[in-house]
Order: sequence, then structure tokens, then C-alpha cells
Amino acid sequence: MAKKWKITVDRDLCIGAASCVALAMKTFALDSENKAVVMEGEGDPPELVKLAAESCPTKAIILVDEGTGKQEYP
Amino acid sequence: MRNVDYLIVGGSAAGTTAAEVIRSRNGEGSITIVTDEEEEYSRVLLPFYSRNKIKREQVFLKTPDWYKQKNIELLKKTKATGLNCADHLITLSDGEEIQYGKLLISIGGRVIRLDAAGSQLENILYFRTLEDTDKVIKAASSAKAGVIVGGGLISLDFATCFKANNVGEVTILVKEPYFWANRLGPDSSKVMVSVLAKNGVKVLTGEEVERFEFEQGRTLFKGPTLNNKVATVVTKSGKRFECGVVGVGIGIKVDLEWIAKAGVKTNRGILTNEYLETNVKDVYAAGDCAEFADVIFGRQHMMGNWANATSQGQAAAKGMVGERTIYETASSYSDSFFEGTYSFIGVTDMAFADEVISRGSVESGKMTQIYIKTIGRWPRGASGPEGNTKRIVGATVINSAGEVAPLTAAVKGKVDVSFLVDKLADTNFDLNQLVN
Repeated sequence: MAKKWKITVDRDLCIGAASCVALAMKTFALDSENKAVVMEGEGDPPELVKLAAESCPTKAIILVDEGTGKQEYP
Repeated sequence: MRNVDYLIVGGSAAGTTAAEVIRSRNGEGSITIVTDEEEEYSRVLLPFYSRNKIKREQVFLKTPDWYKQKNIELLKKTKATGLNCADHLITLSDGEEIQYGKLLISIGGRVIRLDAAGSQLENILYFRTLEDTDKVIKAASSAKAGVIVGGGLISLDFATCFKANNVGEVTILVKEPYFWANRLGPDSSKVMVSVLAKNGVKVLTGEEVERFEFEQGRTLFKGPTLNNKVATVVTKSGKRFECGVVGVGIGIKVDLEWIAKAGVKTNRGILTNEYLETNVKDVYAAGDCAEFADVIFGRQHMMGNWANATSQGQAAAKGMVGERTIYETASSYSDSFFEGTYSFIGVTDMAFADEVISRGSVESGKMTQIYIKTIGRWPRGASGPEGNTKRIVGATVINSAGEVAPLTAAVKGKVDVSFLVDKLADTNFDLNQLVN
């Protein structure tokens, strides 16, 4: 079964560099403060979300494995 | 001689992302990254580190373990110095040759050094690498006054860093008639300068460095520095600034010579098509060093920002494993300085746009400039009637963070704003209406 992420964005760290939006545009968007938010809905495949999180230059995206409850990134 | 399936020259955002994407699609192929630095770190975090907001170890994005786990070989402190496309060979700075199957060049840029008498004195510093940042923090923490040469984003990073490290007097010298004149309109510039002034940073325009002195009347021209530290900046207009640290930010350039010599077409950067392929088979380019065919704007384009680098790394990597992918992203660059924020979206080049609309005011401390271009016919790939459309091709946004997302979406979505141009200047007009 494919992994599912519980995705959190640390708003204090996020600077709106938008690399997450560029890589996983069905999952991330920028809000009215130019900070990343997680969108509702199907989203992107888990490995693309992982790549997007890893691409964040401020490590503001936190990924927890929904199955195990373990934080996998950062 | 070693033989590598995927060779990546340059280990920052584009190169590392590419390696990861290749590995996710090809578990077997050998991947080697050649980098003149250490493990990948976040250049975006360097200003935060310089302001004492985060610790040094937090700038690293990957651990040595990560490379091991992904079976990606990392050749540190090594540069590529030669390329032989016919034989698929890269020569490294230590003399080793590596044969590649596919090659990605993602070497980024290198700072342009200031050419003035005494510019090799100690504490005349740049702000590009982690090593640079270590030096800047060290020099700033003991300096009573600092001078910054050049008016651009690096000058903002220097200014914020100097103040965070308690440098008393901070002065920015720009040769242009106003601050950041090559990227901003005069009013946007004024908004920025007023944020700087509020934080004790002075901006002097029309000033160029004539020489640096280490003591009254003495400068160094060539040769060793003899550990002499900079003490005074003298400008061409004859002004003198005593200082313990100088920050220089006058631009970056790509180290193209060895690439061009090999027959890869270059201009300001490495020329690629929309797939990030160069004119030479099996050679790709991504990130700050790529001058790519931009399908959104229909021209060659260079973008020096993190989001562009990571997403180009991804697109190039897909091509390298046989999933040819058009790179199509309207990227933006955002940063903060003191309490201010700024963003650049798309193409903000007056030579490309036909009109610029100002939104906001100097008094309100917020200024957005929207670059509009009339496109003769409906953009490629879109369905719709023939005829002139007006598109937002770029924007600069100072202190209005909420306008970044809708403007970026409008650029990317090639939205026709023919009927809205008159409204864009009105700050009561919600820009989200452009894309909803």
C-alpha cells in the first residue's frame, strides 16, 4: 500500500520560496501571506510530496507517515 | 578510468534534486555528483544563519548518510575543468577523467569580484557560499562600521546581517541613480530604502569604489595581503568611509569557458531547449547556469532562484532517464530584509514588457509593479480566439506578500488581462479575481 503523509508546514520557517508548489502543485499552494499551505483533495503521489519537502530550502515541510505515526522528514 | 551512468557536475539544489529523481526511477544506474563544496546546504538559509536566526548545522539539507542510502557518489571539493563531448569525458581538477552516459551541468554561478585597488585586503567579503558566510559573520561581529558595495538582493542580506551582528554604521554604495535600479522602478526602490533607513542603513547613490585602504593613504595593488585588513573605502567622488568590513554584491556569472570550448552552445548561460537539453547529445543543463527555452514567455531565459533550480533538476533528470519532460514553470523569488519582504515573479524586464502598472504607494510602504506584454496571437497550446491578448509576464512585489500567489498564477496561466488592465493599479481590486 502506498504511503500516506500527514503534511505540516512550519509557518515561521516558510519564506515562500515556492519550490514545493513548483514540484507538487496539487498538494501545496501559497496563501495570502505568501506562505505554503496544504491543499485539500487527492494531492500528488507520496514520492513527489517527499521530493517537494526535501526541496524546501528552509526545511519547513514536515512529513509524518500516517501508517506508523513516525516523522520521516526532516 | 571510471565510468558513470549519470554524472552531475554541481551539487546544490538542481544537481541534488536531479540525483534523487534519477535514483527514484532507476535503482541500478551509477550516479556521481561532483561538487566544489561539501554536502548540499541551503543557500536560502545562509542569510538566516548570518543573522543568528539559525545555527550553522541547520543549513545542511542532506546528511552524508543520505548519499550512502541512495547510493549516490559525492566527489567533494572537486571541480570539473574539461569536457570532451565526443568521448563523453569530464576532466576533474585533480586530473581524474570520468566517462559518463548522461551528463548534467548544474554548476550555478560564481560571484563577480570587484576590481579596485586594494580589493584583496582582508574583510572585503562576498556572500555566496557557506565559507563566505562564516567569514562575513566573523568580520561583522567585530566591526564598528560596515560598507556594502552594490544595490541588489545581496546588499539587503549584508545589511540585515551587519545590523544583526551589531555593526553600528552601515552604508550601501550604489553606482546607479537609485537603489536596485536594474530590477526595480523608482517608487519600489523608495519603499525599500525607507525600510533600510528605519533600520539605520544609509543608501548613497552615484557612488563607485575608487580604492580600499588598510591605513591612511595606503592601498595594496597586487600581491599578498600581509594580513592587512580594510580600514577605509574611498569613492571616485572622493568620499571616505572608515569601516571594519566591506560586503560586495555586484552580481554573479557562470563559469562557461570549459563548457563552450567543448562545443556546447552558450550565451550568458548554457543554452538549452525546453527539455533542458543542450545542443550536444547526452548533455543537459539546469539551475542558475541554464539559459533555457522558456515556453511560458517564448524566449531564452535565465532564472537564479531555488524553486527554479529544484524543478529544473527534476525535469532534466526525467529526460536523462528517458522520460523527456518540458520544463514549464513561472517561478518566483521571495526574501525578507529587516521587517520588509520582496518578491520577483516571472520576467521583470522593461525591454520585454510593453507596459508597467504600479499598484500601491511609497507612503503606504507597499509597492507592486506589474509587467504587461501584448502578445500578438493566442499563446501556443491554449485554445481560444485569435487576436491580441495582454498578459502579465512578471511582477515585483514589495511588502505585499499576499499578491505573490495570484500574480504568479496569472503569469503561469497566461491569463488575458486585456479588460482588467485599468483595474490592476487599484489596490481595492483583489488580484485573486485574475485567476478565479
